[in-house]
Amino acid sequence: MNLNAWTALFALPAVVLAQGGPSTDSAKVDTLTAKVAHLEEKASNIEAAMKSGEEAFAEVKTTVDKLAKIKVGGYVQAQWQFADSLNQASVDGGNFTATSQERIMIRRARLKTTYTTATSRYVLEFDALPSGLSVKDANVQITEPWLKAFSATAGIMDRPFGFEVGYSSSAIEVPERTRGSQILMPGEKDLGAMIEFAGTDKMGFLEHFNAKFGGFTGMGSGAVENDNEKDYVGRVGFALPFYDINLAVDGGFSAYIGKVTDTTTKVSETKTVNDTVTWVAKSGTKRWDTYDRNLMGVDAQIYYDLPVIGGISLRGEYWWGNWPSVVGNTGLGSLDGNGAYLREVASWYVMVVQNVGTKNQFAVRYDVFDPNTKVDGKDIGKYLGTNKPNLNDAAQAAWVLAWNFFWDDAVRFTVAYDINLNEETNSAANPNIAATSTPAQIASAKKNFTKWSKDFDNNQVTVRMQVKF
Amino acid sequence: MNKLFATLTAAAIAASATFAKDVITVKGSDTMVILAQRWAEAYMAAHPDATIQVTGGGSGTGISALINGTTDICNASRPMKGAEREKLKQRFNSLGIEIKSAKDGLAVYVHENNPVKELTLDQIKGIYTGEITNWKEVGGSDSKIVVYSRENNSGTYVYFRDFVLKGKDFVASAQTLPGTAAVVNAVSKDASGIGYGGAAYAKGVRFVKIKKDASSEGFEPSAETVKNGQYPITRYLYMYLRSKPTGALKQYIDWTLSPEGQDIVTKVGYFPAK
Repeated sequence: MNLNAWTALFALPAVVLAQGGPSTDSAKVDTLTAKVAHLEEKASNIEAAMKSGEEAFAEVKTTVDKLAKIKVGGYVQAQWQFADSLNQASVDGGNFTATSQERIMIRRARLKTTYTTATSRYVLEFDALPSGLSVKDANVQITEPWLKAFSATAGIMDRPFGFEVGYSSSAIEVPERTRGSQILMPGEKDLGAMIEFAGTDKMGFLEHFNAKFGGFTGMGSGAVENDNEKDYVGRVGFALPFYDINLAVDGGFSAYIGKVTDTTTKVSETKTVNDTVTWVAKSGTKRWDTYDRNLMGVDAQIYYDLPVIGGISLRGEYWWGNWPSVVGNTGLGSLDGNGAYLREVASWYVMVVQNVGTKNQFAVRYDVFDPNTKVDGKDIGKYLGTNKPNLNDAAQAAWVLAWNFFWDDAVRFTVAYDINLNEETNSAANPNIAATSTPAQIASAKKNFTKWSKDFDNNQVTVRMQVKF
Repeated sequence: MNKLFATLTAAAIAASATFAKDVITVKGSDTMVILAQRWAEAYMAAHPDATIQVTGGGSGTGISALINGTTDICNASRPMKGAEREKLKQRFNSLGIEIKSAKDGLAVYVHENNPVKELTLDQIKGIYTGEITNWKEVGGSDSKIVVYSRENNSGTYVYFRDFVLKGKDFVASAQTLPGTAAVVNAVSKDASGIGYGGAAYAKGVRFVKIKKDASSEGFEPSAETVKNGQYPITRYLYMYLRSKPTGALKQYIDWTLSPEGQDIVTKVGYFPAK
């Protein structure tokens, strides 16, 4: 029985009662018949409207289902910082200007779009800052449909190295990654292709393992390929949960095996000559020679739920390797016309994060970056000259204390204090001055070395508000 | 500089303290929402100082709320996934606490007039993946099978897909509905319909007996068949917390697992966890 018939059946007694009871009067019958017909027509209209609504709903649902594959997210970090001194060098968003020791800035303003199907994914993420727009992620990924454990990604993505590099900037518990991470893996991203294994819960013990391996340009996300050399980066990791005691032990081993091309013949390496550490020109170098850029890393994270207080984690990471770079910068990228400086670098940190209830979180981190492990602080400034160790070879460390307050599921406030420490250099009080140095160079070097001969004032406070959606 | 940091931190922590609250919030599984409401009503009646707010939305929604810090208890009709545990770990440095609070037989419903009395797990899988499309293929009348399912934020949906469909996707023509009650309602009005959901909701529809395979005996979900494992589609109903419960939260959790709380489980139509 269709809707019209049901409606008429139920409506009839009401209509009959409204008429005061059965009647043999044919006029009344006609009236009733007309009213029933009218009701049938109305019911028919309603049924048609419902069918139309169902069709419209089906169309809308089809559209909504398609749109549900698209996810848009992002976050903005606005912050105020106060530094110990004017023109202070900082890794927390760039150096202060010569006339400022406090500033308001947008640290990050990200917008990320993801389109996901059962076996593929597209990601495009921008960072829109007053200084300009940059691409943070632009990659496509396909996942095999059988185990859904293996995937391949191509484009701009996080380098699969260590723990901190892939940790979201919106989630990190202190304002910035470590100095070593920022210098050796600037911007975290690179352009390349990667395969990934992530154990699923149907794979038994393998569920707890993951691995990533890829080939990258070695230039970072914003630069173009400059040679035929690729940097191969990978990490093998594990995540062991012990649910009964709410303990998790995670970790991994990472490797970065790459090469960098020198366009000059000026290649320097650190050596000890006559008990003096110095930069020595490497012999037999040719233009377009390549040099190893290798880095190894181990990382571990332990998570535990402290009764009454909340979850706590202890994290640590250690990186070491060879890192050819330009004279004034130990970072990633291509070499410049001033030649290559071959350095052995090391970077490490330990960090504790403690949650207190649902709103509060406290973090303490100590990190060290040594851009040249062959050079001790006292070797710097002992002699002045262009071939002598300089401040680019000095290690730096930092204590970072941070408190995070989660206002709601979108808003987070952070108050952090960076206590920056430097490897103490020779004071250069009585330097052996190289013949190549000019009076101006000597004066500048003496001033800097004197400053670095003790821990100088370069701490800073950051107050940040983040809104994430 | 040190004084500045200390002042800022102290002021901010003092301000944050004003946000403390005593209300227990419960969010998640629609399958469990009636059970959670009954628990809350009974507990608040016995403990006038307690305030428990219960909302549904689906297991996925509840788990998201747990990760976002917007609920104290997440009800889930499926276990948390590894990826969800990872998110909880990242935000709260904790894997979360899992509490098995009840047991459920996941029922398969058909219209009361449907002549099909029992189905094997393989047949159900065939119907829900689109390999079987007509009731006559499983001993019924010659009519097209209308498949009713749940939305993908439902723990029942995930459990059914993972356990019954062995991870395969639902047939594209499956009609997704926003709750077990809606599935039951749809099947009760559709002679060709088939649906699934918690056994506690089955009003106006008929259970199909479920057989592990063609040669085994079929069973309906009941206290006995769920408890002794004869009924093939059984699952636990969970409560998840971020950390070990303390204070009022612990008292409430302990009460739900007490004989009094588990008695309500039975009255609602589910089965005690132990």
